[in-house]
Amino acid sequence: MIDKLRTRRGPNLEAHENHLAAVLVAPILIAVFGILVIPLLYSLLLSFTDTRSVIVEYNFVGFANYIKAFQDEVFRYSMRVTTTFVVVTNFLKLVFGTMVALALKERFKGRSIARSLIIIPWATPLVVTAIIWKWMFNAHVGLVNFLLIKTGIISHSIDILSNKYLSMPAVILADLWQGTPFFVILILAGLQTIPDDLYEAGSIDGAGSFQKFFSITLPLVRFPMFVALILGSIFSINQFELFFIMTRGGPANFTRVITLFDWEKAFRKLDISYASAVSYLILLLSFLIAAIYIIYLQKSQD
Amino acid sequence: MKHLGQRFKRIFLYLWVGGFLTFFLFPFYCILNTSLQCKNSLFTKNVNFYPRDITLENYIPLFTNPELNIIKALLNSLRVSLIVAVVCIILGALGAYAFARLRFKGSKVWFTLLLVTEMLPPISFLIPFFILYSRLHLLNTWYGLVIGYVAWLLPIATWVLYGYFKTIPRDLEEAARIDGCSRVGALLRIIIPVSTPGIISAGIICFMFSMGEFIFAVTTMTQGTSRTLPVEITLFIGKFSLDYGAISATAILALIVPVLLVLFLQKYLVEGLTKGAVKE
Repeated sequence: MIDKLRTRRGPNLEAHENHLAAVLVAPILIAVFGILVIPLLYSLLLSFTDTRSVIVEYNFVGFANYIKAFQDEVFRYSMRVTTTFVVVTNFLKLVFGTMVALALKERFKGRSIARSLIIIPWATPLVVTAIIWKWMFNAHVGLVNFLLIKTGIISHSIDILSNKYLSMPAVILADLWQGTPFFVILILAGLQTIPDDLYEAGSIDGAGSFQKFFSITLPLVRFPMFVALILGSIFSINQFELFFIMTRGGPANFTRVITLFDWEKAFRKLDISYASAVSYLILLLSFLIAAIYIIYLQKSQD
Repeated sequence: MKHLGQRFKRIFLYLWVGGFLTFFLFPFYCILNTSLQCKNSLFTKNVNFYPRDITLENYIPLFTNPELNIIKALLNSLRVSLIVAVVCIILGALGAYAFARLRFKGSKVWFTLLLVTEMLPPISFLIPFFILYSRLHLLNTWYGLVIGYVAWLLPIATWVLYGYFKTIPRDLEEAARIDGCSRVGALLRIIIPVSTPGIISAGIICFMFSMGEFIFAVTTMTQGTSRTLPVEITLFIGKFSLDYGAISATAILALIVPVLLVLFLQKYLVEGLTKGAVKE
């Protein structure tokens, strides 16, 4: 019956659907691409100029700003800081998140409460996360110093966030606290799709816990893990708030991630053209990761 | 022997769960505890794990002192986030329906491009937005923020709603259309009511992301009274850097709405987040 209707109305219906689709989709496309693409092209233009203020008056300088970036030691150092941060924090989130998700998959009393409580850090505004952990690491009133002194590990309190060896690990810890729940949510959702029969079959075949994890669990949660890693990486390339509030890039440039470097160049030094070029380099980096994601997603859908 | 092993596993499981829950939740307790203590007890040699004399002295100025814009900023945040969520749901639902149900030229390409915009770094938009906004007099206005946030969150809302619309059986809609409903009628009368959970999750995600957004707000809201809470709090930290009691009180204020949302609506939140990330 329905098929008949479809064939009878054939081409007309198709044309009608095209129109309707255009009307329905237009607001989104205008809102998203209209608002985002024009500014993006504008900043591409700026990156080839020598604009140094908001009152835009400029000469074209070709690739000078991009060349300047690669010669700028602070820029190169910032890239290294960001890379270290992104790799370390996402690796740790994946391992920690998997371990938490595995525990939350087991049946135990209070499991559903534990599952909802664990999302709260993820829902916490980043500014609040930064405040909480800045307090934790504070030299005078913070918990971390208090515990380290009480347990006798250190004798005098240290200013963790101003210490060149400790400031980055401290921010990573805050980031783990905030970001791991997202990994847990995705991995746990993946774990729940694995039927129990598979584990029972594994037990009958005499597989141990580790064997079951590597030959049953891991292959089946590869996809959510991959999604978590990609989204997590893009998110941490753009991490700004924690560094802005906890360390301001210090001590020296030890935690000056690329976003903080770029933001300061643009809005503190008003070096608009150079900052635009740097932001395009960040964009390129994110785009590479996004491309991997989209290609993988489309492959997995086929 | 096996029984003993099981038992051991059980104990280990509880220890592990207790351990990570402490890591994730104890910081909240600490900050609440700090916000309820008076200034003197914060600077003793010992950290008090429970407030000795509970006091609201850190909270009261936030409400009574008009120079502290915290409450005003909280209301600003709520207003912006609510408007953003509503706009994203309406526009997102229309578009998501077209992407999920209608066949039209370029639908796949546009949909992919929408997702790509979500992965572009916010910082690359800040500089041109700042310049264009200053020309268009959108700096320091709440609608300037709304415009930016809608452009940023609309693809996410569309993606979540698309996932929901895909799960609704086509028969339901076909039946309505045989009964004389138009496409739009079917969308409004059948699809939308059935996808309430999807609409709620898209709404919460947009709302929460707008509530917490910082870098765009701090760049475009440098002065004036339209600042949102995250920006106002950082200014507050700058002014009262040593007054950890007061700072903690503002943090608690900023936490109330997100925490309530998570505790009461987390089912929708989790569904919205995991749609598409897990293969059915």
